[in-house]
Amino acid sequence: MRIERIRVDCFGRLRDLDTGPEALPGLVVVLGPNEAGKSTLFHFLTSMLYGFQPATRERNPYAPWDGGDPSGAIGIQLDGGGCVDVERRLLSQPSARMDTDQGAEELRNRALPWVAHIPRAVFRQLYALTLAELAALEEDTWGQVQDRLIGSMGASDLRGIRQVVAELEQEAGELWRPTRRGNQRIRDIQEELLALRAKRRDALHRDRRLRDVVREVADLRDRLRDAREERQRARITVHRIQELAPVRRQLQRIRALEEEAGDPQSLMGLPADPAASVAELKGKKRALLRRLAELDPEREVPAAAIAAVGPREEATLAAADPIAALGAQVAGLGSERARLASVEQEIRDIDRRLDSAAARLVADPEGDVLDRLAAVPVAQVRERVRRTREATDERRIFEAARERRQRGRGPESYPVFAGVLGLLVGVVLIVMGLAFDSPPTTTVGGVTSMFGLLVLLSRLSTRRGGDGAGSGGDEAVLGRLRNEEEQAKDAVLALFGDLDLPPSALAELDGVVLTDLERIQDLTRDRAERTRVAEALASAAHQVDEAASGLASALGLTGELDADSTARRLESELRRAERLHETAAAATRELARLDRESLRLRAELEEVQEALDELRGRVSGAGEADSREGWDRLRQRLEAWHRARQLREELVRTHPDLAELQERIREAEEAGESWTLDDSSLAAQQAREEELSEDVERLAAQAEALERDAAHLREAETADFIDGEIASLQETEAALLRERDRRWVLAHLLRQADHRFREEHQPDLMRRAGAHLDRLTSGRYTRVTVDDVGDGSRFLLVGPDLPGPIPLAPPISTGTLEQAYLSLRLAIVDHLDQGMERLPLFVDELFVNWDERRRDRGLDILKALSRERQLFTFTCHAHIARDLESGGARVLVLDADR
Amino acid sequence: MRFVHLADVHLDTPFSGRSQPVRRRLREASREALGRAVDLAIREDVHAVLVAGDLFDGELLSFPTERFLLEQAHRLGDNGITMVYATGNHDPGHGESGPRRLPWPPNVRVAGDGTPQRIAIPDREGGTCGFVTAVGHASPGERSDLARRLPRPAGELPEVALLHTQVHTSLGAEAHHAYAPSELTYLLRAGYDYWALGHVHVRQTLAEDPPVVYPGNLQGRTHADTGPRGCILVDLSDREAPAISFRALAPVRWETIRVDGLEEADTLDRLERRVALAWKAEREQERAPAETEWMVRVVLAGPCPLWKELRREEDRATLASELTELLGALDVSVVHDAVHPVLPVEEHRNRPDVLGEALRLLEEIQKGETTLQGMDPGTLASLASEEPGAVDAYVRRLLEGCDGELAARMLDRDGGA
Repeated sequence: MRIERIRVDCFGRLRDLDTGPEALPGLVVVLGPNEAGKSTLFHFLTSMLYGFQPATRERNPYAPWDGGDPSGAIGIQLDGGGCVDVERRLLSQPSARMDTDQGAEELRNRALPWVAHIPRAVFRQLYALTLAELAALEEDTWGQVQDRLIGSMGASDLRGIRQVVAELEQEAGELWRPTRRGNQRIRDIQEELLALRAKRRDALHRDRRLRDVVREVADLRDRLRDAREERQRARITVHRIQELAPVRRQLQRIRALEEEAGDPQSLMGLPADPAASVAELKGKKRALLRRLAELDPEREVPAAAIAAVGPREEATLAAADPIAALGAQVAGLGSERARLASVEQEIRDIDRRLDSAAARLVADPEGDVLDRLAAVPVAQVRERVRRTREATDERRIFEAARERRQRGRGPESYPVFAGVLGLLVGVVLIVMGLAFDSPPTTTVGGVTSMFGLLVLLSRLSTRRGGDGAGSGGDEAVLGRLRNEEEQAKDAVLALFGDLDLPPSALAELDGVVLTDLERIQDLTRDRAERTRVAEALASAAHQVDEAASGLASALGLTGELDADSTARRLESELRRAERLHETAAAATRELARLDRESLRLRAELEEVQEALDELRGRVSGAGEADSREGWDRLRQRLEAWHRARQLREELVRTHPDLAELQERIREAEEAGESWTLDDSSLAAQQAREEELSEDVERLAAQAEALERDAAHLREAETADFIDGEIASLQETEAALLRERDRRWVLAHLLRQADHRFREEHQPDLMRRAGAHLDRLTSGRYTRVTVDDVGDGSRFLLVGPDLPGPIPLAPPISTGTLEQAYLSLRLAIVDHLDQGMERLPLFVDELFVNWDERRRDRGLDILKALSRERQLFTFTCHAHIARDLESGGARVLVLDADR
Repeated sequence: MRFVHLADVHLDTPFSGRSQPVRRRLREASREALGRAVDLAIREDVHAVLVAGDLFDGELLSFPTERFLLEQAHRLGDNGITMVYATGNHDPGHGESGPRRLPWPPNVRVAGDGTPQRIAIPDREGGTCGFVTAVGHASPGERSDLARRLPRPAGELPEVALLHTQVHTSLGAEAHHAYAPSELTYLLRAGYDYWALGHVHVRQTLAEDPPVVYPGNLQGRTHADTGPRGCILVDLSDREAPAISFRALAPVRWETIRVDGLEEADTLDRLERRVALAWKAEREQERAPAETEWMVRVVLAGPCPLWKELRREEDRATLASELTELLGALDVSVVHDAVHPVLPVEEHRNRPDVLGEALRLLEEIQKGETTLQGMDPGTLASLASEEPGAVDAYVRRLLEGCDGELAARMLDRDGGA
């Protein structure tokens, strides 16, 4: 095919590029500096042929940032004839339209049918020859280059087949190899499996051993049980002989004694020796009777003592309290009499002092003067004396004042003009206030005139008083004051009535009269008080005497006796009566005691008699006669009964498990066991028991040891568990084996694919490569072959001047290597689309580093090739463009700023 | 008559698993399930427990398991429950070892010689509440139809047939050897009120009238045994309307989840999260008791950036270990065979180079259009048979799903393993 027209609307950095209506020739030179868009043009053409990839605007790297949609069109002339116009646009979804001679067709994003024989990836890699590929020849080994050229048909995204195969074989070998060389995971697992199978055998052995051990344990347990049973039997025999037999004998003895004792109910409560008990009771009865007889004589003495207390003693005892009170009164009478004498002396002293005081007040203090003085009201006297003193003081003051006035008068106190002035100013202010309707002025005027008026009135009054007391006034006043003074004194004297007070007393009303009067009245009160006390003391003494006399008379004492003697006699009588009374009380208690003893003795006597009767009744009830023989038999029966009880208690004490023993004795008796064994048999039984005990211990120890073994064996892994581990490991082994074989087979498959591919493609490839190389080297090398002797990995070159094929590898020159490489790449392209549409080839600065001779030949080759396949040559060198243009090429110029 | 019907307990079956604790737990789980079945029988006051073969896995029964089994039999006996046990191909009656040599208590009746036994099931009052006719495998390779040996029942009381057989039309039968094969049509007309079967591990009711029932195995053993496992509780008091209910007893469940859509799972964390989401969705569809322990198989499929890591044994072990914790499972295993690189393989298949050639060759081999030439069978480590056809078939199995890896290795997309 040949692309005859290119129209780029928008694609990456390219805008509005149109090659115009003139059809593009087989050789197109795209001239432009680096970054001018040569690579973009290649991708544009690829997109036109194959569709957009990626097929969304967002992800497509050639979607311009300015928002335009990648779009464009190409016109194609097909090798088989016919034209195709293709127009594509990448919106959110790609769209495309194809116009052919047959009509239009929507492509969406499909590739053109005439490029389907070459996948997009292959087209992108193989139909764009770049300088970089030639440069890489120096870096890769030729083995790798050859792999890429032959196996990969030049594709750069494939790894060398031999490398991949080697990796797979190595990985497979690490898992498993037919030989034992090196580490092999699967063989390790197989070793583990061998070990596990050995473990499994051990586990099976353990299981068998466990079963044996359990059987042995069961057997041992049986034997142990038998030995224990036999030992138990021997123990029972020995036990029966050694322990049960004595018990049994004792029980038999008890039973015999109980039989001898007879009915135990009849014996219960009987004394051990009834005959002795009867004798004892009888003796006790006699003693009681004897004591009762002794009690009556003992009652006489206390009865006499009781009788000694008569009515007089009773009366004296009844008057014990009055007698005691009299004693106490008599004891206090002495001190009161002494006090009476003292009070009487004090009265006499008071009388003397009264006489003395009265003598100062009254001229003749005889008669009832003291009583009258005592009756004078002291308080009124004191009040009237005070008035008298005040009248005297007033009179004296007036007399002193009159004396001062008579010595001269003082200046005027208040000037009259001040009052007149104040009155005038006030009137003026009032008038002004009224005239000018000023209340404050009127008020001030009122106050000022009032002040002036008051001053004037005051002065007038003072003048009028001074004028009154002046001349004759003082005498009149003095006279009145003296008169008032005399009247006061008279009032004082009036209170004394007709008592004749001496002049001295009158002169000192305030001192002597009032003082003595108060003293006389105080002494009078003291005397009256003491007189009352003296009278009371005398009365009390008299009453004691009366009481003593009355009490003596009541108790029958005769004779005149004073109170003291009477009291002493009464107290003596009282003490005697009390002694007799105490003796009688003791006698009463003694009599009561004797009565109680008598009662007790009679009760005891009754009890003894009852016991005696009961004992005799029990003996009779026990079937024995009340005789000496009967008593003896009863005593024997009782002894047997007590002995049986004693023996049983002893047996219970020594054998707490007596009930069990009795049961075993009963069982043994019922079983007819022997209760007698001679010493040798008993020793044999004991020896057997010991022997069996040893057997039991030994067997138990063996069983225990075996059970420990069994427990240990149970804890160990069982075969099924190891089987699980084996199965698990086998699964891993199987999986790894499969994985190993898979990788091995993959390697083999790759080898076969490589072989098949070479067989199919290599001859044609080599023929085409030889033709290209012949042209490129001007016949120096005419063929390229592959070394079939080795692994097919070596290219050989053949030339007319060469003695034989030489390997395509250093020391051959780099230029030749690059020519050979180019020949092979061109051959691959020819090979890939032989018989199909030949797709355009893109060559980028391929010959820039070649020498002129080689470059000319290269360009000639390109010109020749362009007759069979359209070539797009990218270059930034104008002279190359010119050279090719001269050879018929069309030059498309790309600007750097396009 | 009320009874518990169980089968395929496979005591002491070897469990393969990632670790010893997991294997130990699985082993205990079988016993635990049997213990629960006995608990159920006692709690439900049934008259009988019917065991339809394969009570234990092989001739070898470990001593501790033997003790355990006998303890359970004694527990049933102590509660007046008869245990009827028809042997299967895994525990046939003949031979030195096997069920016959066990000191069974009197309440256990074993049918293990190929001869039918008609056993009267006592009720609590000392009478008979029904009959169980059992026939067991005498040898491990029983090929005859044991069902046809059973006599035709007659009587007023319920009649139950008990045997270990492979009914041809049963679901999942292809996974089992055709031991003691039988025909459903024959079973239906044989006159029994209930067919208590064992052998096929998938729980299923082959017919309703009369009921022909496989209870499935009591505890799942492999990832083939998915779903709840347990026994069947049957009440034949009304022969015309038997009451049949499944009771889940297995403490450990096996489940498989397929997880695809792994294109974004380019780290271990992302891959784990994707699996956890799938597991959560799976569990939300079917609620299981909280105490259930899970043996989970995660089948990863489709393109995944971690395809290379998943090919490595140690990486898969790490993933499985972390998933075990993340899913709260007893154990997780990871199957990676269906994982391939994230590559448009189809685009490379038409390449005019050796990669296209290899992919085309692989496709031709898969289709059987060609074979791998020059493959020496002796160089294959795991070839079961060296017959040419066997080699080709083996190679085809090996190359299943390898095109992605092949392309990745050739394109150097983390191709090296």
